[in-house]
Amino acid sequence: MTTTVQFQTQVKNLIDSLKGICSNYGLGNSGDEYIIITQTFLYKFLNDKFAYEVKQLNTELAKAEKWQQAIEQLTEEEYEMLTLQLSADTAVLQSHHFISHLFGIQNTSDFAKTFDDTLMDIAIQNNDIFSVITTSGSKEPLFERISEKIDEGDRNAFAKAVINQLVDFSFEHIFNEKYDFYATIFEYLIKDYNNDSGGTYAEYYTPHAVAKIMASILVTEDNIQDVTCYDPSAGSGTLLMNLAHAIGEDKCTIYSQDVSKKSSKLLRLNLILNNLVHSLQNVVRGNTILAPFHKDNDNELQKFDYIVSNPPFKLDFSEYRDDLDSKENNERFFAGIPNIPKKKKESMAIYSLFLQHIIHSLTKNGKAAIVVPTGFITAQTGIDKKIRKKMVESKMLAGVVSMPSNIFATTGTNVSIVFIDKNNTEDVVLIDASNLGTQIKEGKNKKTVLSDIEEQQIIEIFNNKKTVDNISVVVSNNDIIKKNYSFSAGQYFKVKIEYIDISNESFVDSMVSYQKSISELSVKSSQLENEIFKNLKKLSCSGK
Amino acid sequence: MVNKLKKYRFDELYDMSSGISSKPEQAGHGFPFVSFSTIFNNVFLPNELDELMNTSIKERQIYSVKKGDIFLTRTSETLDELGMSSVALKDYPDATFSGFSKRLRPKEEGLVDSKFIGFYLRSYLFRKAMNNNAIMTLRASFNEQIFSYLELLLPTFEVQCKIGELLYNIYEKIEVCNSLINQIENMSMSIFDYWFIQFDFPNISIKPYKTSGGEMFYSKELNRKIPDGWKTITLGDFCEIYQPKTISQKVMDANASYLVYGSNGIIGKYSKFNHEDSEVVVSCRGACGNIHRTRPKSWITGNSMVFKIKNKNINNEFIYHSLRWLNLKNSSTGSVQGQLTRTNVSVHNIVLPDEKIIKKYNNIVAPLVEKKLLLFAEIDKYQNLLDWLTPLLINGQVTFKEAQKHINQAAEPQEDYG
Repeated sequence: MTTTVQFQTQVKNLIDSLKGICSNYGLGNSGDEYIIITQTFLYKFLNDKFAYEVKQLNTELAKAEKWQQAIEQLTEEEYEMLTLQLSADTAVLQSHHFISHLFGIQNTSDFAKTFDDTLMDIAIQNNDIFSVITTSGSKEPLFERISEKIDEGDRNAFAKAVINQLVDFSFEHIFNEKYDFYATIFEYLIKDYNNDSGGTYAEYYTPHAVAKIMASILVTEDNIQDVTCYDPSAGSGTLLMNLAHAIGEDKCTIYSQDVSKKSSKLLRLNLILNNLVHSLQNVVRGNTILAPFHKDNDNELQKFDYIVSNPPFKLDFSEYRDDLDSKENNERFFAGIPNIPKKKKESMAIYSLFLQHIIHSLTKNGKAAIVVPTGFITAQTGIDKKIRKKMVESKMLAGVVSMPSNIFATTGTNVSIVFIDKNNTEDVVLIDASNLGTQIKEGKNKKTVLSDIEEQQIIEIFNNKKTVDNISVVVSNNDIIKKNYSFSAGQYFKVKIEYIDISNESFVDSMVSYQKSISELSVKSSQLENEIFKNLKKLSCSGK
Repeated sequence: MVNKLKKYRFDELYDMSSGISSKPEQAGHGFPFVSFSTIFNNVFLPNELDELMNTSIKERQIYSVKKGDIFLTRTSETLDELGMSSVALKDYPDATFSGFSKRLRPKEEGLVDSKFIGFYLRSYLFRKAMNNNAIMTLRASFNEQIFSYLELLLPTFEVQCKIGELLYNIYEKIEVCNSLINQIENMSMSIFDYWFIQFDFPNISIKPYKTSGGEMFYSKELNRKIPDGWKTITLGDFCEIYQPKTISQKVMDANASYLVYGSNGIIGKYSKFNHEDSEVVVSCRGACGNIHRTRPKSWITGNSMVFKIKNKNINNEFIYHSLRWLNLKNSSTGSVQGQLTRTNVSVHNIVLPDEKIIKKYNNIVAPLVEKKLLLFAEIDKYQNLLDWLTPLLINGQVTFKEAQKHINQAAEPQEDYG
């Protein structure tokens, strides 16, 4: 029996060797590398998944020494019957799409072209399910031609190197694995690509602890059926995956939008890995703030049952700021749109727009968890305060968790998670977790890590509405109004005076000893004074 | 006529040697240690060395610290912080000194007075000589070469001793005043805690109230029992709380008369003051929650929040200590830089004793506060005297009369106050 750990090592080895090939061909850490890695990995995954599925359906194939050859033996009708029975989230492949087929013809003169053509062909044949839509309505196919990213002379050799890696071991065993397995693999796969070196849109990876806390607080009921989950700034989808897993992948449909192409590609892969293929058609690439895509039948913005988000905090959107200031956005951006500052346009508070968009996009029983800069929870002026006011006055705030500093290795900004629950009309939980966690160094950055126990502690305090000294308070919406809409737990903490009782005797003793030392010092002080004065009198000045 | 000074090369009078290069695991335990910062911050080595270094017998012999030794900081980021000196006025058995410093040990006794040289090396005259000779590469550093260039202009040993004694007496006087302040502060703190935290203030029969079974009731606001007849009050109701006007760094002037209080204590001087009396302030930007008592006639900036008790009959020492127990740091907001706002601090509750006790308390602490402020003023005067006198004595412009008589018999007789 091969164990999970061994699978994991094998998969990681495969990813490493693919990365090795890329760097051999001069693409190490380039913008194209992640496309090649994720696509070839995806190809491998689809290929083996197909094999796994057909073998479940057809015992003959399962028994065959070489299933690829056995499939080629099938008549056209038999093959069609087989593919019709496949679950909708399995890509349908023809025999010439198989890795083994490409492996067999790797020495042909235009192998690289064949390789790309094959990928493109798989994409076209499965376009209905596996493509990502852009806000303009066009579909981004599953694959693009990857060997073209290599110098012309090297393409065949490159494609050959890749196919030789893919043929090595079969993924078929890993389809029995669970969520955590894929989460680890996915994280490993994208660890080099999910950073802010890509320019304006910093796709900070949301730390696991944050994602887990969000999901565990949002999903407390067991029996959730057929709900919608949404992230308006999905990134690679960590938050959504955690949420979907907590609800049950088959019990929810995922919707997302993100402006970044890279994010959409990574998110698609993440969905495929996590059995969420049925949601692929809801992955949209585009600007959520400017052109929110998901609409309902009345062409109104769609409402969702669960929303999670770790939106960008600051971004220069001066270019389209005024386009947002329209009549139809009146309700969506109820608290207002940040003005364009004279200086530092790059620090326009775009998170406040995401926050308003999310509040607007919740169903009447909806729940949401949003990462915000901690400054938001206490700001006394402007849009931030108006948003908080709305949350409190319409009684939708469930609570806030203020995280330790440096929970994101890439930024020093302190963050808090705001939880909304429209069914929670009283008793808001405010947690100050800023003193939890252990500091570690990650490269040049300091980072704070929460232990499993600490994560669990936060989740438990929140879900059971517990008051813990110096960590959490449970307050009413009225209490919050009284404190000027502050969401900061610290401001509600009772000051607890701790002291050690001293006896009257020791108090009197210490007073006596003070008197003694003060009078001794005073005596010394006046002696010194006499001494100094005596000497000063002896001084004379000789002039210049 | 100027008192005669003799020129010496530094290396004629002293032997220079390097400090110990210690490993990190040696630090923090073992034997007394003279660190870089101890040297930097003290004209004379303090009586007790707080820092420790686990050294071998041999190291303690090589890097010993003896009476008359001068320690100089060896490197620094800037020139004007280079070669800061600290002088040992006694032997420090078993102590060693930092590798970031140099030790100068007198070649023979009776040439240089240790007290005198302590002030001399920190004087403007010598600092200037040091700066002129020091080398600034990446960091400023002090080496053998500079040591041999540097010259000292010294009066006779006898005169040195007299000057040294006078200046050192003033220096010690300031230290004594500081210790007095320290004692008074601790005393005031003990009284407050005993009376208003432990509630063992003297009852009618001058017995500790709570311990002798005084009636108590539970206060919801404070989440604890307080004496019967006492109240709780919010800071906002008890005090006028405000942030005064901030002034720019540029308008401050080191020679001006009034102290300026920034976020965490004194940050400079200014020609005007905005508070006549000594106030209780709390830092409210950056490092929040630190409590200070300002000196009378100071300029308090907006980085500090003033807590002025509305009831003029209560000494502000009461609010000083009440705030100490509130730990206002917890009320700070702001995502990058901490910040305390009036709204956030106003809501805190404190205990308000009945009037009789307040009166008693005032009678006790008012003179303590008074005395403390007087001591501060005294320190100022002595510090000014020290700053003014040191260069005059060192350059020989001012000297002791009998010493001068030998040199200048023609000097006009002066009236003696003695």
